[in-house]
Amino acid sequence: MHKKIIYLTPFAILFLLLALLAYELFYSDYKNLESPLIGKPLPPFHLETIFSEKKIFSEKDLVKGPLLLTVWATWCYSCELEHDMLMKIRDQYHVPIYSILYKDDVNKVKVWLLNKGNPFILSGNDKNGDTAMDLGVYGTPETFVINAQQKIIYRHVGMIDQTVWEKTLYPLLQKNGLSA
Amino acid sequence: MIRIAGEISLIIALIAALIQSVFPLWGYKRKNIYALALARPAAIAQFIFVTSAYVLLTLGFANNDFSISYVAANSHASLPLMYKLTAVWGAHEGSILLWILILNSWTMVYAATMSCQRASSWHLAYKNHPFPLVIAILGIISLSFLCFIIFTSNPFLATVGVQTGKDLNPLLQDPGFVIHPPMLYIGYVGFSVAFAITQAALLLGKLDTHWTETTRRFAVCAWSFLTLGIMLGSWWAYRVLGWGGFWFWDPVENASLLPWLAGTAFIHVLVLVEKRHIGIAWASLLAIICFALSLLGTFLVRSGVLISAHTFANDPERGIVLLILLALLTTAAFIVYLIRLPIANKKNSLHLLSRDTLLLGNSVLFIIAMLTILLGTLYPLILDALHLGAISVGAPYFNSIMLPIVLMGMAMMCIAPLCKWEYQSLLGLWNKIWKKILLSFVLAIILVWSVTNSLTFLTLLIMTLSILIVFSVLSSMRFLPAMFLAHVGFAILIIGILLSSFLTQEREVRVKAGDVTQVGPYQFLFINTTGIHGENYRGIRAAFEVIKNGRHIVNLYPEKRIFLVRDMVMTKVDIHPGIFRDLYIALGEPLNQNEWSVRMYYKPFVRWIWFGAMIMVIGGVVGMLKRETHA
Amino acid sequence: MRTWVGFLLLIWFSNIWAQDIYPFASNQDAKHFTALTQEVRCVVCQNQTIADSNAPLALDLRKKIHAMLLANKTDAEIKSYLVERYGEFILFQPAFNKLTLILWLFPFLAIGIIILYFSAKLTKR
Repeated sequence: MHKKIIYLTPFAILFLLLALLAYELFYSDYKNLESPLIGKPLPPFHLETIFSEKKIFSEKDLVKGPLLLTVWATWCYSCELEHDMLMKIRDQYHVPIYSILYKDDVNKVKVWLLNKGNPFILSGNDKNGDTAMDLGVYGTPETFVINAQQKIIYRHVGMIDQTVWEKTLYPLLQKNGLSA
Repeated sequence: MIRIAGEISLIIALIAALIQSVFPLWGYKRKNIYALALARPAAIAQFIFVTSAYVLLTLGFANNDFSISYVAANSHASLPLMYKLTAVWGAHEGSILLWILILNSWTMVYAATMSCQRASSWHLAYKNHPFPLVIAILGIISLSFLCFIIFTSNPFLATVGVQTGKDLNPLLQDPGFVIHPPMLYIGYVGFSVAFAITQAALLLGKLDTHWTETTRRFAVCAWSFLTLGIMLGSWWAYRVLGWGGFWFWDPVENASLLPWLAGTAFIHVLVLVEKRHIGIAWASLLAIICFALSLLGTFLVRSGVLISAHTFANDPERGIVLLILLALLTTAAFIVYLIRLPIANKKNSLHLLSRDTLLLGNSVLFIIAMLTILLGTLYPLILDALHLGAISVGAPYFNSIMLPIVLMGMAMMCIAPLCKWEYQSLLGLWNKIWKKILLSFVLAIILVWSVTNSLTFLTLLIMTLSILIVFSVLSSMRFLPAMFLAHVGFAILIIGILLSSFLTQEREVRVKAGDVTQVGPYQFLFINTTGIHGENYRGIRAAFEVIKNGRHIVNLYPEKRIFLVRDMVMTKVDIHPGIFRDLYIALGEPLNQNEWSVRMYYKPFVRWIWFGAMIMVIGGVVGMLKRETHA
Repeated sequence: MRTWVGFLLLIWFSNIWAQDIYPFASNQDAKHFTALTQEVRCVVCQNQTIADSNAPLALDLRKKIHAMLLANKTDAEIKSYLVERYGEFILFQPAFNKLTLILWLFPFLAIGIIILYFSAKLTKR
């Protein structure tokens, strides 16, 4: 009996190993970093504005949530693709959207927004990337969902398209008090 | 034309593999010598057609035949010929074909070595000799991989549309790529032979001296190649990756270390079996574990479950097929093992101190080390599967956790060669060893102080143990040259790791022409940059002069290359190798018109690491060739 | 000989010593920086440390750590700064907590069990 246990152990280890690997092959999720800031208040920031009469953009300037805060740049291709979606979110769903420009050229941003339209209430210029680092940003575009208590409740990495909006962001915003 | 011929070759090889697997097994069941006799010809046929498939694929590369989609994905007309011929193993499909080729080559080697040992009447021999059964098992393994390659990873698929070739990944365009994968695969796959021989012996109930001797030779041969392959991988990473490291505990590197650790345990237990006829059950289990780990390594690299700079492929569907293959082969092996388990008569006493227990204990330690590394590598996956968050387990963890284990192993290495078989008295051991300990300690102090000008507890301990390892095998130099070489090689490797980690100096600087950087005792003078171009790249070459004490030492030319087809930038490092130190320089980024960021390293004793590993490999080869008499 | 003197003079009188990209007051501090950056993961790369990567985020993080070290922050402070923003994933050395207990203790437990088992077997005779 004793011996049987010892001799079955390698078999058991093998079986567990194979089960783990089979599961991870299809359901692995750890490559999408979950932000540790979820549930915490939005870190304070202090940036110069772009394309606005106001001089400074800080967390005090945000309207009462729920709202979206997106970190992007003109040099990032996905950001260009998501622009139309953001316009739609503002016009059709009336969600307040703010933005932070990550290491971008102010003039390029102005030209970009003039040509394509400006979906943002306010945009801040994060020249050295410090604010983005405070938000734990690792790849633009990233969009944060902020609630009425100015807490971060979700972080989406990558472009926002119709599917992402319908499946994840819109329901989340509605749950947190977005009026239809 | 080549493409179709290649497909056909693979299919014929599959048929041959089928014959090779099924008939000998059936022949054993029905005692049919004709079926048994089919083993060898089927194996030869399979070898011929697998080789022809491989050669055809190589020809496809050599002739720029971009109608083959694999060639188109990994080559280009402007790729240098050396890389065209070796790009065959540059990606997933081709590397599996290489795997199969090497498996069949090993089968041929086994067939050749067995033919000189056969009894005169082949009727009798075939009925009792494990030869056809071993061939059949090797055939089953090859059959599985051939099915995998033909149905999911065919290198001979046709290109859709017109293609001019995507060029080989620039990171692979280095001499290290030409030699590291084949050597590594020969090692990995070699354990399949030891596995097949052991399974055949288990099925026949013949775990005798013939089994021990044959298995040991094949296992040691595979182990030598695996050591060589891992060493070459480390050397290649050092040359190519640009930051002077030789081991990163990357998941794929760990995947190759696991069978090495199990393999080392295996060959040591085989010595025990040969000499004292104990540990047979443990040895047969280790044969299965080595094989399973080499398959696991093959799986991990291609599955995409682990984040690694090394991964070949990222396809869950192929991954699951490989996993099922792994599951079936190892489960069958375990079942055979459990059913046919030799019930060892544990009548023979095992004293607490003897060479026997030390060999056994050492093998257990190696397996625990292997499990530790496996656990560490898979831990992020485990936590993820249980939805407990995402963590990283990297070099700092592995370095910390392996240190005590390696120290324990080294301590055992010092004592075991000095112990007698069966029983060693503590007093006797002390008498043999105390002088050596003292001498090692003194030498260690002298060496560490003169080389590093500081004495820490850890460096002294490691250095003392390493020197003691050398002393403990000195007397065996004549009778057990393999053990002598392998252990001494290991000691040199450890000293290399110890000293280079302690003494490395690096500078990361911004330089413009005329600037001088002091690194260790050397000055690096930045002279200029020039534009260069090669067969399939363009780039910038910087010229540096290295000066020491006012004397010119060498000129170094690090480069930045842009590979045109894939539009990838690659850093080409320049190294001035030396027995006692390496000088290493890598270009960073251009900071502005005149300035560059550059990294320079002074790395003392880093070559000792690979030098030590080479000596271990030579020890393995000697062990395989010589008939060892364990005094 | 002449080149040696010429070279010496050149060095002596001109300002040509290269500047470190991440300067520190002492060699020991520089080594500390290297060691620390080798523990931080470049989260946008395929399993590299920020010391080894040229990705923009890696360079930013190195600059940040450099600034924090110059401000005399401890390793623990720097690490918790990073973990607050990027999660435990960013550190290559896993913390020692309930979740990683098995990870850190496994080899010692295994060795302990083996030793206990075999000494029990051997003393049973």
